[in-house]
Amino acid sequence: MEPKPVVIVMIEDDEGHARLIEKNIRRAGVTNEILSFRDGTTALDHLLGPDGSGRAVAGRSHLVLLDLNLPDMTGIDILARLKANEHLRRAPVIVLTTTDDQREIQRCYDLGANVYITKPLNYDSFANAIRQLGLFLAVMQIPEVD
Amino acid sequence: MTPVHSRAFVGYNILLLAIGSVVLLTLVSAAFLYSDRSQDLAAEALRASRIDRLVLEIVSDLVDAETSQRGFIITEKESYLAPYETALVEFARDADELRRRAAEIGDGRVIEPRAVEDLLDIGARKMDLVKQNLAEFRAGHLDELRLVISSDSGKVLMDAVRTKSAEIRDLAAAHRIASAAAMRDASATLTTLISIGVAMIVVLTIGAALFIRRRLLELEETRRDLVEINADLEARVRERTETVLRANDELQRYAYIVGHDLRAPLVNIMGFTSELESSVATIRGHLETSDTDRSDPARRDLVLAVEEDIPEALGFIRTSINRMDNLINEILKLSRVGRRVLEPATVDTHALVSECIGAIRQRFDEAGAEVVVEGRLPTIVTDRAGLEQIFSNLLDNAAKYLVADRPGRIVVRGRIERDRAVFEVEDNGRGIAPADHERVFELFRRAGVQDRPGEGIGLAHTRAMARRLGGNVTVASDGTNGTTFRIAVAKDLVLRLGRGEP
Repeated sequence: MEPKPVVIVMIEDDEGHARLIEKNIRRAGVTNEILSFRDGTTALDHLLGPDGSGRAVAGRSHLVLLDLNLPDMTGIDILARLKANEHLRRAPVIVLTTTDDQREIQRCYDLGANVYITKPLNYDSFANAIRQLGLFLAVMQIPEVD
Repeated sequence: MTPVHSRAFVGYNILLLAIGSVVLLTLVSAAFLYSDRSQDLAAEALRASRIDRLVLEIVSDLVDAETSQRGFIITEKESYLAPYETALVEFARDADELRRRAAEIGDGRVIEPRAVEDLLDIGARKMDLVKQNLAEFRAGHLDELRLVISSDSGKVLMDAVRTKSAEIRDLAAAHRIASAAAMRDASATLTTLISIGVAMIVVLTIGAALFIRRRLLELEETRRDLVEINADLEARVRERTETVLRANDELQRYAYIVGHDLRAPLVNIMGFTSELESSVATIRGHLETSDTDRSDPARRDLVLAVEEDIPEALGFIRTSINRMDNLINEILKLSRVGRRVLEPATVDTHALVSECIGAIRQRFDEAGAEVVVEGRLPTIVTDRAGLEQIFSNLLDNAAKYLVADRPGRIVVRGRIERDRAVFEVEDNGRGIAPADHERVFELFRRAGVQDRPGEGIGLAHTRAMARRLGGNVTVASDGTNGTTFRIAVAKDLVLRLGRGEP
């Protein structure tokens, strides 16, 4: 059976960043559905469902692009919630943030983040990073959650 | 309790001590005086007894002589005369001694020499009579002898002797009794004096003890006050330190958040600038491939805008973004430096400075400059990375601002000054104008001609780090002939951190 296509969940409060990330992902040739959320609460509502169990999205594969600096909660909190959920804990999480604080990076990896990308000011390298991320998404086999 | 002034306290104590000493001295003197007096009086009493004994012996000599003479006359045996001979010798000796003793006693005033002479005179006469009787007896003049004896002249003399001797003995006894009485009085006086002295000493001691006790209580009270004041001061210092640390902490966090949040919009500006650039590139491509009629002014303006104005504007935006990004990065870096946990360790600063020089040796060589470390730099306990950053920055600056018209020379020296290690990095570069001496340590501020690359960050970092290491960085320069940076750091950072100072 053909696996269902991976849904990219982007949690990013800055509209501009979200737009730039999406554009570059598309430029890299990734055609997966991208769900964009502006804050942590609505993103978690979607991912975990109204009962917070994550059963609502069971069976679908997700990839999470996560900004750490959100208005209502920190990306770290979201990361911890996702990794604690049995349906979502295998979903890859790519942390995208402006900070390059070593301790924060370490913390994200400790919590189970798969990739950590610093949003660089040098746009070329940023675009490049996103495009590589697109390639990464294209070749990645995301385990299906039953 | 009224406080006793310390000089008054000393004065009172000295006064008490002086009074005590005088009393003791007086007592001791009186004791000597009265004990001398007692001895004298005892000697007088002894002398009186001796005179009494001598008088008795003289009477006994006379009686012995008479008895001996009587025995001889009755028995006619020469052996009966032996006591007479002895008595004769004894009498002479006792008479001499009595004269001497009588003159001694009471300085000769108690027994008049006359009385003694009278007694001895009568005694001598009695002895003469005995001698005369013996001579008569030996000569056989028994009748004359009987006449003499019956005349009772011997008995009269003997009675006179007894009377005179009784007089002298009475005088001696009276003197002895008087001496003993005086002795008793003297010892009573001595006892009284000692009692008074002891009482005074007890009073003085108690007075001094009370005085000292009061003084000690006052001292204790003062000490307690001092302890309280100290504790209060310490609490205030701790409070201030905490306030400063909190303010510092807030500033660090503020710098971090500002830096962080400023970057987010910048990412957008940069990202969409790039989007604009690619859009402009698309338009340019289209303009180039399409028919270009340069004669049409509207079209010429369009081409000008797309080919020059828009790329120029985007170029300035990009440059500004890069500059702003650099500044934000530096602020973030500075806040990170401030948050870094210091790791005190024993650091051989001589080796450390040599390493720093080695790291930028190439730049000195290119500039034809020599670097000298004067003497041996001390070994201290500090944060190695922090000190390395300080020296790297200062050496880098020294290399950067050398002047072309004189060969560069950079000197590093250092020594321990009390609880600090003090270093100097001296160069003969272009110097810093006195007006800029404080400004150069401010963030994003630079001095002199802005012809060298730099953000105005290094010295701000250097000073921040030196202060964290328990010291400071200052600069000395006349503005033309070079610059000397003076770095002070704590000699032992562990001690300093242990005291809770930031």
